[in-house]
Amino acid sequence: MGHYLLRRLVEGIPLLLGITLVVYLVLVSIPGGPLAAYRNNPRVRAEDLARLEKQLGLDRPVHVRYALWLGRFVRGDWGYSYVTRQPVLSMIWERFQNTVYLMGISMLVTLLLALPIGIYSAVRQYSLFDHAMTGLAFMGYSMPVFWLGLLLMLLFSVELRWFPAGGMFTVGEELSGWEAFLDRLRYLALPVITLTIVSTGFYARYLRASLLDVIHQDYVRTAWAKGLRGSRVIFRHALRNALIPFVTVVAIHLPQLFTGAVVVETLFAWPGIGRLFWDSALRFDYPVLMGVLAIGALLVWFFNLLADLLYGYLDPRIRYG
Amino acid sequence: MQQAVRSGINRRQFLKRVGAAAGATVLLGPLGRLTGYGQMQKVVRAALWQEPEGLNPFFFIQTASRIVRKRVLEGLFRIAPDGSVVPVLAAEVPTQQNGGISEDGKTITIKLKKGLVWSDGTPVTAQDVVFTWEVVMDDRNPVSSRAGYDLIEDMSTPDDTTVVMRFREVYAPFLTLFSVNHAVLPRHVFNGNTDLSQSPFNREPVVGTGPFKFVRWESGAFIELEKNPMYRGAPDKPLLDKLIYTIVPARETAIQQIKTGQVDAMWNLLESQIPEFQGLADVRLLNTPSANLEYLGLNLSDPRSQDPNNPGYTDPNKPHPILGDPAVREAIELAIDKQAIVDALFGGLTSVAVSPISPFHWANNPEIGPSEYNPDKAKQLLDEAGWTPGPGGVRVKDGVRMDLRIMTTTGDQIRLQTEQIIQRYLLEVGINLQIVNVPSAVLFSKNGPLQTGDYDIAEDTWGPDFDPADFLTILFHSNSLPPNGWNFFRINSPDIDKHIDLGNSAIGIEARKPHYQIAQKLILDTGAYIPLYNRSLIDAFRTNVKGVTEGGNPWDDFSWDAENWDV
Repeated sequence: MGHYLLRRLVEGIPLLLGITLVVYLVLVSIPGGPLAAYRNNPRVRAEDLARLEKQLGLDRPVHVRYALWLGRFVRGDWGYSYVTRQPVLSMIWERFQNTVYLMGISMLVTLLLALPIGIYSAVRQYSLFDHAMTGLAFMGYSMPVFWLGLLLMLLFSVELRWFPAGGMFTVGEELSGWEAFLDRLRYLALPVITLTIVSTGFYARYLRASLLDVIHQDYVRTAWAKGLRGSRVIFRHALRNALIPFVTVVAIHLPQLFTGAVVVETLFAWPGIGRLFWDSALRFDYPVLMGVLAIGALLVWFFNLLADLLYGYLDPRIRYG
Repeated sequence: MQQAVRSGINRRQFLKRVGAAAGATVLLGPLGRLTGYGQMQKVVRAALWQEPEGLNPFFFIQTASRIVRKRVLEGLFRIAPDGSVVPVLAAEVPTQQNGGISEDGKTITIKLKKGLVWSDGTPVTAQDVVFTWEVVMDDRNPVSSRAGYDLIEDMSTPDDTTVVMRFREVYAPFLTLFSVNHAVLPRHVFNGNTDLSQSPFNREPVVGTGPFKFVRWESGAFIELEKNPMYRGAPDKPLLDKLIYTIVPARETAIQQIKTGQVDAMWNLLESQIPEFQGLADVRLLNTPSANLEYLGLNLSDPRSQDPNNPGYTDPNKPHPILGDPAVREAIELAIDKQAIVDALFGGLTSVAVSPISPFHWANNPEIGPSEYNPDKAKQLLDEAGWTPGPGGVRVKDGVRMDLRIMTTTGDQIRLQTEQIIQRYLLEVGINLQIVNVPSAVLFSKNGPLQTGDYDIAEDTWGPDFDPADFLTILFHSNSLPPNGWNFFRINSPDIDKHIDLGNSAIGIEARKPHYQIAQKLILDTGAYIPLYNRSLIDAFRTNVKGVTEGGNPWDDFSWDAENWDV
């Protein structure tokens, strides 16, 4: 186990290096560049552009720029945004909290819905409920997020005026305690509903499948034969084992909690990482983009490792060599 | 047995912790960052669909940054809606009559208003202006443009309210220095240290002279300003307690928010979005003319040629196989019914453009009228020039078919429609246009088609600032041939150069005007620049916002008069 962990950690280093390199090359090869906005401004003359290029280090060859970025990055210096001139780390941190807040709650709501739906669908396989849920699940995750979100916004914000059209809380009004809490919830509603609709189906279907696998196994039949109560068989015997692959799937999807949802955050004006990434991409803000992408890569790698370890931990049959 | 116990406890613990963490997020997250405001305040929320880069007037160039910054930091002068220069921190506009401009035009003396104070109570002095210049010239600072500032030889302050600037040569647009898009910085905040490259002030300009004071900036969400009690205007100004610029990702979001009343104003709508507001009683549109206009740029150089001096760029001396013929350029303009485009696409909200310098600009040449729409004359010109109709109605001369590419930025519906209409008009006279649009980052990039010269016709929007010197120079002067500027038409005319130079160096607006007027005429005569229609600035306000100046200010932004707003 210790050996396995060490091997995975060592393997991770070239992997992450490779990812940052590829990402860097892709970014710099996109036409435009961070000074694009300055280029067709009549006041910014050729000599101003040359001076700015030098200040940002853009006059150096790509491999030198990458090496400089990497050198600073591994030492914990994430650099300054080309656009805002603010430290990248503090820019990301400010948005990070908002993203965890939105994604954490929608993940929670999703799981709270997916668990009972998945279990009930498996127990009552091919029942009306199962068919209905299967239909809804497919409808949910085949719907484009931007379209669904826009539709919900038009209905619930513009027409019915139940929920605000984007933002995180009411700006410029005195609210405190309970009122403020409700205000926050109103702003959360639409993005959370959108995210929940598109992902609940996925988790519910996954749990249903893995529970069905288990339900037909001999030890479950034995439990039934012993005359145990239905709920006891399902929750104590079947579900325990069915949850093992489910937990790993959830773990693999956890990085989303931190990297955010570009489309939903943009649609609902949520000041999270996804939107920071989108804005930075439009402005060719390489240091910020690299920061967000590096965190994303690191988290995906880490949670995959965690899922693998967790799997072995929860299921004694798995052994790592 | 041991393993079963281990995994059992672990899972439970794991689930408990996940549950606890998630529960904490739900409960504490919303409560985490609450702040209280005073009650019953007058607040206006105005949506920007672009997040400002920062609020230092010299480092950041996007309009959204300027909008917020201008409420907080002011310049020496500003431009009134009628195009006149109004002193802000300065006491008067320098002229040769009042001794503000020296005999040779190279020394400018500016008097500051007496008794001005920063929002923290510190007096505004001439030293602040000198400090600001030093910041601009400090090599550590990412200053976007030093145009004009680098012509200042030295600055002196005979007394606390007098600044004397000595220029190396006459700099006609001196009124834009420390003004309009720029401002004066508070020296005392930095203790005279001119390195602002990593100063928090760039994002949080906590001291200013404007009607509003910076309070805070929540990234991606809003920038909050409050009334500046030290504001020099009438004691009751501004009328609002707070002005909050909210930041939304796109115009569409802002439109929904202004409809629901979540915001009270929004900046910058597209013409195509106007119908969304029809029939709404509580939202009105502010339609402000702007100096920007939509135009066609025709490439005078052969797209396949190579400039021996600038590899990768076309040779301005090798004429375009089709557009190199002046008769063709004239025929193209004659073939386009600009009024019909304006009527079809804008329903009367704008007008046909006549010159690179709009009619309401002080430098406009009033003798220039709209071009003629006369397809028969266009055909006749092309016939006479030897372009004879070939297969499919497309004209041919010496084996060259009139196949041209027209190019603009992707994602703009109105522009695409304009191209399609022009395509039809030109086909009528025997010119075949193919639409090939690219993202704006590509179109304007260093290696993009306009710079390299690999295009035939481009559609773009551009226009002069209050001072047209930079605009005319960078677009039409031969010194600005790519890669040195934006003369992507490859206009190379000593006559145009001469009049732009004279306009840029004469002393006083009245002396500069005639040169710019001649330059406009000469530019239009080349046929390489075809003005199409004037662009206007469209912003929206909810009707509860009062005191908004009708007609807006073409030289400023939608919130230029926010000190007069009330709710």
